[in-house]
Amino acid sequence: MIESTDPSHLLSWLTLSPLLGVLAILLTPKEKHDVIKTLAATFTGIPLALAIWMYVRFEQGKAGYQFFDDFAWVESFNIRYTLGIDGLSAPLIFLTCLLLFFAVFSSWGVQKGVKGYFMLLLLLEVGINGVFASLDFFLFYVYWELMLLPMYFLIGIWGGSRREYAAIKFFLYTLAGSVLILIALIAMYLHSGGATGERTFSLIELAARGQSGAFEQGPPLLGLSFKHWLFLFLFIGFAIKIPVFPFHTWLPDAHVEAPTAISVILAGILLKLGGYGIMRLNMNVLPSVLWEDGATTVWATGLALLGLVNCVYGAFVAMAQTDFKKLVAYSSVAHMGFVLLGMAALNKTGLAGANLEMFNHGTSSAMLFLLVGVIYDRAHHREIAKFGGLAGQMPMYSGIAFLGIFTSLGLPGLAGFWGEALALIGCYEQFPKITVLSTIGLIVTAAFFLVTIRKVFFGPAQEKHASFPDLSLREWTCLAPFGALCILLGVAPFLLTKWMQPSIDLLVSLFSKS
Amino acid sequence: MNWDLYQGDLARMWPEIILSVTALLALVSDLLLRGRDVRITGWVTTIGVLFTLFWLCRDFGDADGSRLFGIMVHDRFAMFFKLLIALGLLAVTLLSMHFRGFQRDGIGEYYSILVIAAVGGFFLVSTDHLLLLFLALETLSISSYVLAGFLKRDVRSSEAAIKYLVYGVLSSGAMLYGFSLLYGFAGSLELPRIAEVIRAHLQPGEGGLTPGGRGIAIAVILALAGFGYKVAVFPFHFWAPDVYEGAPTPVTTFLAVVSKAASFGMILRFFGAVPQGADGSATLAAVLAALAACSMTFGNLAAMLQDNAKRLLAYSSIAHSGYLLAGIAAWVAPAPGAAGSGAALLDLGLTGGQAAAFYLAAYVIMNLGAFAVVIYLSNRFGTESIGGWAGLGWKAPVASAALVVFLLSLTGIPPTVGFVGKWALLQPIWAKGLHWLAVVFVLNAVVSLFYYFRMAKSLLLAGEEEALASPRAHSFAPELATLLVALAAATLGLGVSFRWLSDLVLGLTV
Repeated sequence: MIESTDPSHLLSWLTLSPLLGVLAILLTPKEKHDVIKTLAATFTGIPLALAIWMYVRFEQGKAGYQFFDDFAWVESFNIRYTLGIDGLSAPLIFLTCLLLFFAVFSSWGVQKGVKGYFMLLLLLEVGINGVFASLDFFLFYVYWELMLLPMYFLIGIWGGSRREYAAIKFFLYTLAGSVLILIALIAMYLHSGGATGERTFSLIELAARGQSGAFEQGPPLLGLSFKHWLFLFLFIGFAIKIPVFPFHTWLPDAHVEAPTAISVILAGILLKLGGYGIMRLNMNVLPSVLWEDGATTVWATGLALLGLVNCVYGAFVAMAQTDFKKLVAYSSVAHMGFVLLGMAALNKTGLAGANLEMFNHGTSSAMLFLLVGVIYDRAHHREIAKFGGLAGQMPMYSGIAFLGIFTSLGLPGLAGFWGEALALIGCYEQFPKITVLSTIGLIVTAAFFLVTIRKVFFGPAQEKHASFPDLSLREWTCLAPFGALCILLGVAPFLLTKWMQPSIDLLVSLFSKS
Repeated sequence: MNWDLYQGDLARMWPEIILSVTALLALVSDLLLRGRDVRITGWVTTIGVLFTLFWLCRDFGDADGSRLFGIMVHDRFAMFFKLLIALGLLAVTLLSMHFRGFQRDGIGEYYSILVIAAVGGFFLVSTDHLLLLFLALETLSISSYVLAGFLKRDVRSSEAAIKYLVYGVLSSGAMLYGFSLLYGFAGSLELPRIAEVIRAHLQPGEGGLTPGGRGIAIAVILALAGFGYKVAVFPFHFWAPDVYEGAPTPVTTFLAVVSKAASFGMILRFFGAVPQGADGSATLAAVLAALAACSMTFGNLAAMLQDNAKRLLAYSSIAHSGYLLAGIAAWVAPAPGAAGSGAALLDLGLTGGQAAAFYLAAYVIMNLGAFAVVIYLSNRFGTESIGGWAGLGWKAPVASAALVVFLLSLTGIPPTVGFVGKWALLQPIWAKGLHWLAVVFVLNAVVSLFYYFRMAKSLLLAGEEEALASPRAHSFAPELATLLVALAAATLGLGVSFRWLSDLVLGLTV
């Protein structure tokens, strides 16, 4: 299946180069904060540069995987170190590199345990990029779990007042999901060879065998067939990461307690890992669970219903928040609902919407968390009710905040619109009633964001906020690129879609009417 | 005795001979040095153990499954476990040299007894004759009772020794009764001969056990009680927390790591004699699976309530015994799908026995590491209480970082050897159709995360302002540091590249 490996090992360099940064920082004395921060910026800059180069070299018309890297790892179990990307993973890798690079700048003010902080940040980048790039399930799982530890410490050491609780809750929830993925991993491996054939962890091979029915025959349990169990275990594992209701309760705690840069990474990328996993494993390896005899199954309906719950419930809960950061956190739950709806549609429009939403939510939620961080640095609280009239006091801040908020609520012409619109259009073809109901979420999202704008930026100005300085240069550097992306991808979404489209077409071909 | 006949056999027992000589040298060196530097005795022991390790590695390839003196087996399985025991002994010796509680007087005979216990372990994993098995087990056990009570002035240490002794004698009695029943049925004490008799009594398809089969079942259950006690499996675990807490920490390490590895070697050897696929094996597997599930669940739940690091690790080791027993349950279980239930018959890449051996290697490395950190931290900060370590991790960054690696491994998170071990264990468990056990297993791993990371939380997450305890003088002995870093490197290294370890284990005939 692997046509030719990439002689430049671009993906290996991209995923593993931050490890060199970890090593470099380890050898730096801990008092030299500036050296450490510069090293962190360098070693997140290198993957970003490589990601841009990857974007240039990426063959956009090609549906299959590109940039292969392949080595034998543990022969006795046929575990391989295989990397490769397609239109689904490439944009997310780009997003990861971009966010991590700017996360370093937005963490420039960190004072406590600087050395540890940036080492963990770099380690986190290895894990995230590794998940997106791996084409071997075992490797995928190793990278998937590699993310947990840095995240635990980043929230737990540098977080807010309830950081210890939030950190262990995040760790426990995600691990609970991961171990179910581990069982699915082992079960898939054991059954991948049939009675006699060679077993494999290769995601390409597993997809090919899964699509031709290799997992139809496993042992049924408690009235549910083997493939449904596999699907369920994988889905719960990924759903916790997304997070899908009712597995979402770790999210508000983790997002709120985490320091700004870490909230940005959590909302911007970590949530996307779940959506990516569902497309890469659930849909690609076990398509017959969602689609049988030319029609959607009850499982696809279930996926859409969960999407509906996320949209509406997330939006209503966000509306009830008084803490600005919690509001943004719950708005992520609502946005992830659109991703689920788009995926449940199982057609080109819906999946394009889901993928666009994942990327664009990455930029818009990153902006929103950065914006909350900016105001928190000045006011030292995040109570929406205690703000007011900021538009007059901090005009530049308010301007860019409007951009972020309007992108997030899906204003046409900005990036957020395309994902939501396409996901809903796609979903309407399959589940018209669910789609119509989920627009309630859309309206409520618009409502709470507009109310927030009114309360925070307009109305009577607070005296004690008059002395707040407007955006600093460092804050501008962090916010401007995301703002630019929100406008650019709102005007020209095809910059992304032409990257993704061949891969989406290939995935959708598993769910054709014939 | 015909010397010529046994000369070849004796030449294959160099590791045992070297280790026995080491025990004597340790005793002599203590006699000569009485009242002076006890560390020299420690170094004598270390050199002896290193020599043993060297010899084991040298002879590893020669182990061809031949019998020695008619009562021992010279196979790779035995060599593998001897390597684990010697490795554990080496670490325990180094830790003992730096344990504050020992740095007073007259502990020279300590090293000698420690080595004798390990010699017992060597014989335990290489015999398939029930008489020698019992003798070896008692050599290990009686030495352990003495070691547990070595801090003569500490009441808790004495209490630990008495508790350990009373429980130990009781379970040895039960096991011996089981052995005598087996002897009665088989007319032999050799496991291969006993296996034949069991096979004859447990013919498949007869519908229920014969009277002889029932008798054998009772004998096996009685033996299981003795084994369960040695490895602290629920419900034979009651001694473990008190003994682990009361015994000097290096001895706790020895009990948790070396003694447990040797005992699991014995258990694997014993259950290897149970013919797989016969009627009785499904029942036995069900019993073992139930014990395993209870043990891991109980161990993990009880560990959540502990504040003393040694007690916490004691409950954690009960849980780990459960994981290992789950592998053994999968090993003796009959293959599913034979009756045409629609399930495809799976060819097992890795048997439950091999997976258990794999996990034991991981277990030895990561537990040695965890105990080494506990010894270091309690030397440094004067407390074994996890709450007492609050915020102190920043004062001992290397040890804390190493502890995090060991905790990750104990939980089973990649890229560590503990993850690979759990992954290996889950394969046969799932393949043999024990799906419920696999789910219980992984959910237990999630529970264990909570209490393992309480240590990391206390050390690193708690605010620095809470660091009230005044640390003692910083003394990170180079050999202790080397040990710690080597163990952490092994935990990570074997987690990333476990090719040679898996090849080694796949070569074992279990």
